[in-house]
Amino acid sequence: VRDLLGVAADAVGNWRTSLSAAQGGVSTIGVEQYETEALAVAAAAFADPGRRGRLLACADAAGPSVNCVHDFVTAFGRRAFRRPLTDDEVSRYVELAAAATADLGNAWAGPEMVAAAMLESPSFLYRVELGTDDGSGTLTYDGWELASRLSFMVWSTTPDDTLLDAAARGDLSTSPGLAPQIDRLLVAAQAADGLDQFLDDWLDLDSVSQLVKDSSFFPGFDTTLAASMQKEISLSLRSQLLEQGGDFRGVFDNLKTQLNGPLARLYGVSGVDGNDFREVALPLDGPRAGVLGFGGILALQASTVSTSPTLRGKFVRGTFLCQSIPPPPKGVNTQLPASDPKMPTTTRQRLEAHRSDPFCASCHGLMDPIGFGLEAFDAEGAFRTTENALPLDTRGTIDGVSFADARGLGQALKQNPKAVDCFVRQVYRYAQGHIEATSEARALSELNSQFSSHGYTYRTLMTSLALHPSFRLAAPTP
Amino acid sequence: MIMKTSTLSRRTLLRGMAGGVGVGLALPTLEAMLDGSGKAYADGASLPKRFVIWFWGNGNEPSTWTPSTTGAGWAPTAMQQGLAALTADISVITGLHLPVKGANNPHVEGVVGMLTGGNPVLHPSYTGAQFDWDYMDVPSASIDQLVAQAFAGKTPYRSLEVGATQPHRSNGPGTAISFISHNASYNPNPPELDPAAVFTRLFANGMTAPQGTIDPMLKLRARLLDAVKADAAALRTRLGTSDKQRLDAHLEGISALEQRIKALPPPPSMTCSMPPAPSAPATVSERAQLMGQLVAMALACGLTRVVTFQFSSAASHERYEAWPTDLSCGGTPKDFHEYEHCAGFDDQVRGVLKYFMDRFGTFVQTLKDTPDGAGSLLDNCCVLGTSELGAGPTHEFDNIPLLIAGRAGGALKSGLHVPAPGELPSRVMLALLNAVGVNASTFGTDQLATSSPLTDILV
Repeated sequence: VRDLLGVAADAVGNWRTSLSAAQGGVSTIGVEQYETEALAVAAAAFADPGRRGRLLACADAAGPSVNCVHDFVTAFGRRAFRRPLTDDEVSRYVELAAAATADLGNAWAGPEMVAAAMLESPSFLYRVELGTDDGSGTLTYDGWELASRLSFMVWSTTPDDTLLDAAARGDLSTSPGLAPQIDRLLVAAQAADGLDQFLDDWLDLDSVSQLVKDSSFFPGFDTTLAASMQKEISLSLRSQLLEQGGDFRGVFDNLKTQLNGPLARLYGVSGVDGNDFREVALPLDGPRAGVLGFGGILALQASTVSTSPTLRGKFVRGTFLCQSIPPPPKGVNTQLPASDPKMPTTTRQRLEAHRSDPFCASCHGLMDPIGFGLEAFDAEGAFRTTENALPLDTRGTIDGVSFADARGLGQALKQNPKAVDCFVRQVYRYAQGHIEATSEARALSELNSQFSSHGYTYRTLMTSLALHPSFRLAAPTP
Repeated sequence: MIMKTSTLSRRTLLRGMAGGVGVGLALPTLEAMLDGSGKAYADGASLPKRFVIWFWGNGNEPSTWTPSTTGAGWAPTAMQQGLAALTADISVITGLHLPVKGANNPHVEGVVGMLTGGNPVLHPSYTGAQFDWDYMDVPSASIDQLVAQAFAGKTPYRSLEVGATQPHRSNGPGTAISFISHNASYNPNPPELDPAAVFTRLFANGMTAPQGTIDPMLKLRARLLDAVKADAAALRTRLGTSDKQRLDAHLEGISALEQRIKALPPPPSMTCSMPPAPSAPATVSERAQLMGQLVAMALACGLTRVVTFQFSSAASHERYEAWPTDLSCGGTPKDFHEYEHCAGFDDQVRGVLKYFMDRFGTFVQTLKDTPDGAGSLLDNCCVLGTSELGAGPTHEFDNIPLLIAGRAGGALKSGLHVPAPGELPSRVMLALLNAVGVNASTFGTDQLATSSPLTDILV
């Protein structure tokens, strides 16, 4: 919406929440709230003479003429629907504009209502990417659909006029025509929004800023710190994956990160104050590096009061190795024995119950020994050397590789070929919008080899993906 | 409902023609439209029945829940003292057993089994690695929406959903952990938690507007939605079955909105008056009370006939004001839900369970104090008060607490304690559907299905 009208919809109201809980279709109240928002957004855009003048450059001092409104319907409609409007659609919206202008006695009311209506149209709200049968029974995306897929993958927003013009020319149907557009999108500022969207899918980034911790245990943990944690992950991975463009595997041991004052205090790094972020090199011999050193990740994979090696181990397996672990079976008491104040224990000691019971060990053996490596970070992500005044044991194993601490776990992941496979898989799922079927194994393996031959950079992975034949193929919808 | 009554003011009729978009909606009850006794419309039709669910999360304590006497004049237990003045208006059904398919999160299974009479579905993207509750959902519409479907078109709002506490969060496509009301799978009706927002939505924009003029925007908004519907119709022909379903759900929302735009706000009358704008509530109790007043007025004014009041969601982790924030169990401070799991039933937990019933009592009293025709709004209501579990700490599906308030316009017996050991909650739901006039011969699916309503509560 911001890109269409120059108005940040979030500034007008709770735009996103009215539609977000809508996997199976929008609820009645969602539609109602959304209508209010669409009218408000359009009103805000057209209240500003400068902005409405840019939207309808053909208008003169008296307002837009009938022809000018017609042109606006065509041009704005193409941006909003990500394809040219049909003749029926053009006449429908031109008629709506005429009615609005007549009823409200204001030439600007017509285009304003058109904008609001298009924002409410399912053609704007849903990405309609169905593909066309080329006669062979295979469904292939057309240029407009490809433009939309590309833009949402790289920018997480609607295609701009340049990309739509390329689609109109038919450029996107060939690799030589597509490649320069991908390059252009990847270096544009909007690519940061696309990466954030991927990070949300991959690492549950959006949940970090919503973290709450028990204030009796973590009096310093507040919404500012939670928001800072999310920002660190976003800025740091943006720098590494998009701007520096280095080897993806650096995410496991990178010492460079982006900190502000509240985070630097949590990390014990001196010399960083205020709420602005800046690049910081963490100490070479320190406990913290890479994605497993992010306070936000450590705090998210923990409860409000205590760490959970199980949760953290499950997170590492699922996120970096693409391995899932079933939930505990029904009827199992998942409550750990309570700690006796007179006989303090560490979390690791209490988790021994998992190891001593062979039934529990079958699954927990896959998670807890990974999570033990992160026990030097408490539930808010701060470094600690003791728990309940007892020394910590951070040794663990992952897929047969032993490590001494979090840094060692990061190295083990960096050297694990499964972590590369999994990253390709995660980016693929994000770009395609579905979990891969077995028939897509070949595409994944081809992308995998391209990823390694191009130095494991995120940008070339995105490029390979967009150019890969699988990106053009639509699955038939049931 | 017949609108042609000579004693109606001209203004009321004029307002029925707003913007030239004909109105097929019922206007709220006006005294002029009632017969002499105030029990029915002048043409003999009875006052509309309303259906309300009042839901709280995490169950109750079966051993201290069941009243010692049965039938009429039941004696409330210590936990039910907040209902003591209302025992003639409230029935309590005890001993219900919910044999929902128990493979995943019991809180979700409970709320889905109770309110849809079905087993939860798991979203296809669930791989086993995530929290199951983020992916679990209802298999079909919840009972409130079955009633709303049957009543559709009779009121400006098909149904109203409100709440008093933050629902349990879902990080996935599943919404049954968070919301009690669903139109269909993955299509929830989230409750509004802010009384001021409910007030604005229902009353501020309509009832205070100058009555003589018609806002041209109303007509335009209806026209705009027509264009959107035409877009959707064109798109629909290209879609596969599942996408069609999503689009249809969306279209249904657009139609409901269009209908509301074409209807007009109710004129104030003796039984329907605009409530004062609510102040910001300081506590959960205050929030619940303000919401209760708004709900009562929305029902009395004929804005809707179906309400879900989610006092707290299934598996709620709310720290109610009755809960000391620093109460520890197992060495760490816990919210009510976590504490209950750790400590089981102790006096602290019982205090909160009683607090839930006090809130329910306050809500029922509000309905009782609201006039409807010549009687009380409660007389024409069917209020279902329930939760997703029997005993919360152990996630039991035995002895699920269930209360019914009101007489549904004379269709419900009230003020009874009905022991129903081992009976399906679906039997109660079917009886309630019948009581409010929904033409249903069965409720629920699979092992939760029934065609035998619990007739003990029906007149």
